[in-house]
Amino acid sequence: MSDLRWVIWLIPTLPLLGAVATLLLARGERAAGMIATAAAGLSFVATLVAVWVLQTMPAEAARIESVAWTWIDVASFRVSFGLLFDRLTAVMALLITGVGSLIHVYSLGYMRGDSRPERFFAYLNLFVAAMLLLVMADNLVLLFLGWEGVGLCSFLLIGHYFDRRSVPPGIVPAEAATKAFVVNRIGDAAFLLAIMLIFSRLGSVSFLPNATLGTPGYLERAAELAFVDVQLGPLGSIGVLTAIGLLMLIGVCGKSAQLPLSTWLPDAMAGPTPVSALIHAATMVTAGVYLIVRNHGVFSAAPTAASWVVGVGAVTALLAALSAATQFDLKRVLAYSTISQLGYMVAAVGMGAYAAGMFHLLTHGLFKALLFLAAGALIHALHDVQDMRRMGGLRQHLPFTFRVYLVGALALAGIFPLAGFWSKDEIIAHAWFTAQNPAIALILIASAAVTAFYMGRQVALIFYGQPREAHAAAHDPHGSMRWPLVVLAVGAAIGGVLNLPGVHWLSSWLEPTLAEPEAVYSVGKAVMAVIVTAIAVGGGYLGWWLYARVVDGNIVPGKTDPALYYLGDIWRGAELGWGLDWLYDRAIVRPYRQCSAFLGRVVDGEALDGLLVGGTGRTFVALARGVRAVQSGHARRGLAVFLLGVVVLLAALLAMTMR
Amino acid sequence: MMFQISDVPRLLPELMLAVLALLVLGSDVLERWADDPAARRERGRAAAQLTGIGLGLIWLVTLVQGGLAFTIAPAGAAGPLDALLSLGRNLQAGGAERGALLGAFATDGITVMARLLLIGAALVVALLAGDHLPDAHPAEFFTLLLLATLGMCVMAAAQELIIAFVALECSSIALYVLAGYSARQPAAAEAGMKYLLFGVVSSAVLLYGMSLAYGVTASIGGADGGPPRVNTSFAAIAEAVRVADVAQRGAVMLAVTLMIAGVAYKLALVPFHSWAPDVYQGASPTVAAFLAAASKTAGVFLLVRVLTAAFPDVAGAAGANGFTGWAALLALLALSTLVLGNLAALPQDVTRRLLAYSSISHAGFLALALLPLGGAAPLRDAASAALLYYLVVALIGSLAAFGALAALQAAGVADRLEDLAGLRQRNPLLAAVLTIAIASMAGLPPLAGFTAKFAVFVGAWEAGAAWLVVIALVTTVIALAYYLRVLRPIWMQPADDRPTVSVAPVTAVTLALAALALIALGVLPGPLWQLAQAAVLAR
Repeated sequence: MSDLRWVIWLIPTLPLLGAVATLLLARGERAAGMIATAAAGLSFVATLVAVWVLQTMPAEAARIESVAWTWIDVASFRVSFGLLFDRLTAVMALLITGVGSLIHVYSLGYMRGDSRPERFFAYLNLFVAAMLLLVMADNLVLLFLGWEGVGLCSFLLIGHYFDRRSVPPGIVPAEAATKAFVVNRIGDAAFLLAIMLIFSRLGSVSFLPNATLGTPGYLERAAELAFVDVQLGPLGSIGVLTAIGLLMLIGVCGKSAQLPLSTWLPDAMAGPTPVSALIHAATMVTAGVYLIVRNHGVFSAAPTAASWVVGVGAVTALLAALSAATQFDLKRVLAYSTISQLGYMVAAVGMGAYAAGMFHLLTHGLFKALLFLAAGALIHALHDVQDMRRMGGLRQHLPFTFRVYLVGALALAGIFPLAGFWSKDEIIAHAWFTAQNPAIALILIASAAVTAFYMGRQVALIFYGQPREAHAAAHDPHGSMRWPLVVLAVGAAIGGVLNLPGVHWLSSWLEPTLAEPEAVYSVGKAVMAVIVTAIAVGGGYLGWWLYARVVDGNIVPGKTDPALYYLGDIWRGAELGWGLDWLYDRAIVRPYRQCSAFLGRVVDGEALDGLLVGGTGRTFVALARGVRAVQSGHARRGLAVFLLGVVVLLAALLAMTMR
Repeated sequence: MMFQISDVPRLLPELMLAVLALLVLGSDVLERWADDPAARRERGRAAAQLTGIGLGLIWLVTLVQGGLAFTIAPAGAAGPLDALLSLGRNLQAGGAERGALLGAFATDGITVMARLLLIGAALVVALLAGDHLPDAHPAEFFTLLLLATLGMCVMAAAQELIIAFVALECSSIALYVLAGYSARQPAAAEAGMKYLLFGVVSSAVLLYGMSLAYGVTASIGGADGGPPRVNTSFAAIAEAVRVADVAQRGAVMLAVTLMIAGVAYKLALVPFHSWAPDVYQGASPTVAAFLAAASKTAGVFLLVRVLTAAFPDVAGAAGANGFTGWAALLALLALSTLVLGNLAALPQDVTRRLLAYSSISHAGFLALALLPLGGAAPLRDAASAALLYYLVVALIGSLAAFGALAALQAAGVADRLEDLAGLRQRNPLLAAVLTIAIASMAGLPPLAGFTAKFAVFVGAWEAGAAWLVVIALVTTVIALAYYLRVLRPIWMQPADDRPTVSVAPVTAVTLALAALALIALGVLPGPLWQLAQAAVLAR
């Protein structure tokens, strides 16, 4: 079906056109929403067609490559503007356009009455386009374009309410947007260095050999460099691939909010809730995971870098889960939960469990989008209340929201047979049996217990117990906000079928791209799954029981959690995100501000502007006054100057001759 | 020096200028049937139109005859245009390679370029002047304009001392009268008087230098036993300089110095400049445009002729590898002109006075561009092309800027900077033209002034005068300060209740074309650059 290859160009182009059309043509909320939603939906259809085309190809050559033009051509640095649509990309593109379309539809209802709907929908479409470019790029430079594009859209959408001084729980949207952008830049800089290192050492930035440009692909060359070092001068040396892997890991930490660059994501919740669902849960933050999977050739040849990836992922999974357990803001719980789940994925792909990581990425995309959208429905129903201490007992008022939220929560907690169970279990099993790394497996199991605990706590706080505040007018969502929830709830419930043990559609679908050995299923794994599920059920029940039954009466708006009394500083530390913000504020932000204040006031203001610039100007003006004084306009004096000039010239001549 | 019939086509543009001057004057004499204001205006318009049409024709003839921009193919099949084409073919065949007047008058590419520039400048000035005629005797105004142009053209082609001096005086005397043409205005009378005084002194200095140069030729022939072959031609002087001994070299350098000083007055190089601000301010703005554009260009061409034809052996250098010869003198003049001209421009409040100083500082760039002309062939040719390029751009820029000021004055706008306030609302076209002209003078890309300055800098740098280029760059920055002072009231101050400015259509079109040329030459420097190179190489 080579005739339909061009359809892959439609996938990113349609949302891009949608963004332009929304910005330029749409006037009014309805028109903007319709154009943007149609663009996203059509892009989803195009993706389906492309996947079908891919399906008709033989498995070993299942990829569509298309080069539009040579983007950069400087000496040996040749970069194509080309797309690569293989099975890995197909998975990502389906998630992005599918969940993206649903969230567009949801936004139609959620953003009703917003003051800047055209802007919102245009940026949302632009985000989808950039994200698709990121996953469809056939080289690192173009991928970086998408990488920066999604960062920009994230910045723009977090700051959607830039005119508000504060949104719950006390975040300034404009500052949160800037923070997200700046923290991401740190990762981006490292990623850029990784790209440069790849080009300088591997001679290409294309993933695969590019016939149009005649450039080799760097992935297949990576293994050649396994034992080559980069000299770092007095710092010794480091393996090339290790250096590339570590630099990429920093990039991943920025984009996927891993420790220590995770601090931007909780604040990013200042954006509208559909944005949180699409960008900061389902898609953009998974770009880091995609990057590692795409570069699996580099990481599998660089064990040091890969073990760092695992470590970062596992530690993030646990610490962020603990943070999630202590939050009272509805969306902040979910934000920390996202960081934690991304930690799972990063740990998985670091261990080489690429298919498991992608599986969890997919199921997480479904159930976390569901949770965020349901949270949005709650916020809508309660008129912008996000503090869980002001909720409670909402089960009766909002039965539909309760049910879909429960599906999402159980899926996230990893309860059999919902989607999260299958994907999370696969990662833990891989850590224990394939990677044989019990420490990591235990951390991940502990995280799973904490995950179940905080979801139980959240469900209890929101839906059970006594209503702590009257929400008489609260009602379930309907119309365009309702059925995306249904679709996602179904997805979160049965998403596990994608990669059931024994069937493993996803693994075999990705097998030609990832060349990963097929997972073997044993009795041990089944026992493991039962144990992990039991722990999760226990954790979840504990969370629910504690907050719905035991301390129910002690939850008061504005007061601290009763658990603080027992856990003290640990609880406080978790609540504050382990003090990273505090550390960055003291170690970087304040010294930087003081330094720039000094530079601005003293160096620039006094020295450069005052002495150098102003002084130069004053000097010349003074000189000019002197010259003007000579220039009186008297003919006699002018003639004298004239003749004096002749004399001076003759004197100069004499001086030159004498020398 | 002897006139031959075959010189007629070689001197065709000059002869046509002379004939046109007589025609303008004569037709006006025949038209003097009344002396009321309406009749006088009618006569003035007739003279302006005749001058404009005539100059346009002469410019076209020069363009075709010069054959720099294009050559007409040899006779082919007879077509509807063949009569016209064969006329052009005849003209091109007549532009003889050997000079006219037995070599006393060069007819090379530089002459063609000079004619195109000077006649073109006169044409623009005539077009501008047609819309604001002088109070009295308009025909004489245009006659003098034409005679001055004639003098300049001959000056630019002179290969001989007497022709050079007579041509210089021909243009100067006409310009003295033109500068003080509106004699009822005291400022104009003062301008004319000052211009005359300085002109006379400079002529004396120039003549002194010329007589010394003439004296040096007595040495040729004397050495090999024959009688001394005294001669006034540049070629003879060059030969005498070549064989001169150390003692005679002193006289040679004295001659060079005095001649440079004499011509430097035309260019308004510091310290020979003090007439310029008063004259530019006092004379009518169209005359000021002519002075700034054409007279200066003619002076540069005369310097090029004298220095490269008569004194190539004492060129010297102005760089790290020596500081001798006329290159060093020019470097000193360029230095003083760039520094003092730009500094003096800073505190000016009168627009035309400010532009006068800017014009003085441009002379500094011209001196800088003249520096490398004594060097070796490839460098010299590139530098000559750069000089021609700069001349074209500076000429168009001066015409546009002073032309815009002339239009403003004709509309009754006073001459101070604050009177330009809100010009963007009062007349957007003039605001745009003035802005483009001034930005080009300041050397801002992508306008032509940038390319021109860049070419001159490259030439001087490669000639070794890097230090001077650095100073010139610094003065360019200073210059930006006063150029912006002109632009600020135009764009950033409100018009308040100042009236709108109306411009006559011919003036508007002329100025717009000049501004467009500045943009076009800046964006596409190629064609003019090739033309300049062709002019340099067409010996």
